[in-house]
Amino acid sequence: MSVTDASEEGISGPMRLVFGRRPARTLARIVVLVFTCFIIFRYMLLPIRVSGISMEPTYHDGRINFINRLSYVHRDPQRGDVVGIKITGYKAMYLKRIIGLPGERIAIANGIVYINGEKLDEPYAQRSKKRRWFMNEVKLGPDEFYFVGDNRTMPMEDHVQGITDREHIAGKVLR
Amino acid sequence: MSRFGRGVFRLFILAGAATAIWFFFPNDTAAIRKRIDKVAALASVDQKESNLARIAKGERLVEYFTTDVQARLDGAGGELSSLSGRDQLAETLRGARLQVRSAKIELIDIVFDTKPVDNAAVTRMAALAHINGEQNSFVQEIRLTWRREGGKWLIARIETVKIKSGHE
Repeated sequence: MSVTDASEEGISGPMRLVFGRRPARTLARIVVLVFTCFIIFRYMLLPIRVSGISMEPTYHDGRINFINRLSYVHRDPQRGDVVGIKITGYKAMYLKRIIGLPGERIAIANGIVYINGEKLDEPYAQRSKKRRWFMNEVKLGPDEFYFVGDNRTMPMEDHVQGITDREHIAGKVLR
Repeated sequence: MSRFGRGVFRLFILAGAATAIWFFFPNDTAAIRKRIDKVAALASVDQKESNLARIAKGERLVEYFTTDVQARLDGAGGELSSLSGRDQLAETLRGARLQVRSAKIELIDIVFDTKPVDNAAVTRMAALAHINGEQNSFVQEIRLTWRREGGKWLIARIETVKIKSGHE
């Protein structure tokens, strides 16, 4: 009389479609997959939903994107980077572009940004002929960055912009 | 019952006791977090609510504030509006709640600037408001200063936290 090993035969019928020939291996794969997803989305990529129009036309209202939390582990944020800026945590953040780096002087005249007195070329910015932004010069501290959205057609007072520090920059947005 | 069974039973009793203590006697930090959740729920307005229900909810909301509460809030365009005292706050809330069709308020990402000690604490959080069913929300950082009175944590001061502009 031969003895058959149930694990060799596996399971049959509809259950095999769900669990595969070797349920233990399938379960192990599921555990590894769940754990990997947890690590990735908890510590590496932060899913976000864009809310508002301040980053038009670059990022549209309602779109989904990701923030790479490891972007600035080995380097500092650069001018032009679109980043997530924490308010007090990771559930609600500002999605803005860095235009000023530590130690620089930032001013806006007639809708044009000036860094240390020199005009900044901003091909991403959307401006309006009727509504020009003006801002007196601001001097950034050693750990301060200036952020602003790309949509400069909206009233400046309705547009969230300003100074943040390195600690509040959650990461760079994937494009 | 076997020794193992007695051990498991004792473990369950201990776990149950710890859970009961945690639930019925929360530490001050947990107590404040619960109060914040309650404030957000009471501040929200359901469009199905009658005016009477809105007023009643507003009266319950005001009980989470001290009688001498101070409120300094940024309005549109950066203006600062100040409210002083629970009565003035109640009147302002009453008017606001009757004017909106619906409002969903969320207070999230709570951090303690000053942990509860000597009957005082300071918290900061992001306040999200979905007004009249709009998908996009208003978001504002707010700071709440807490004071313990009569065994309950009450809000003594509420203020919006402005983004640093460099022109202060």
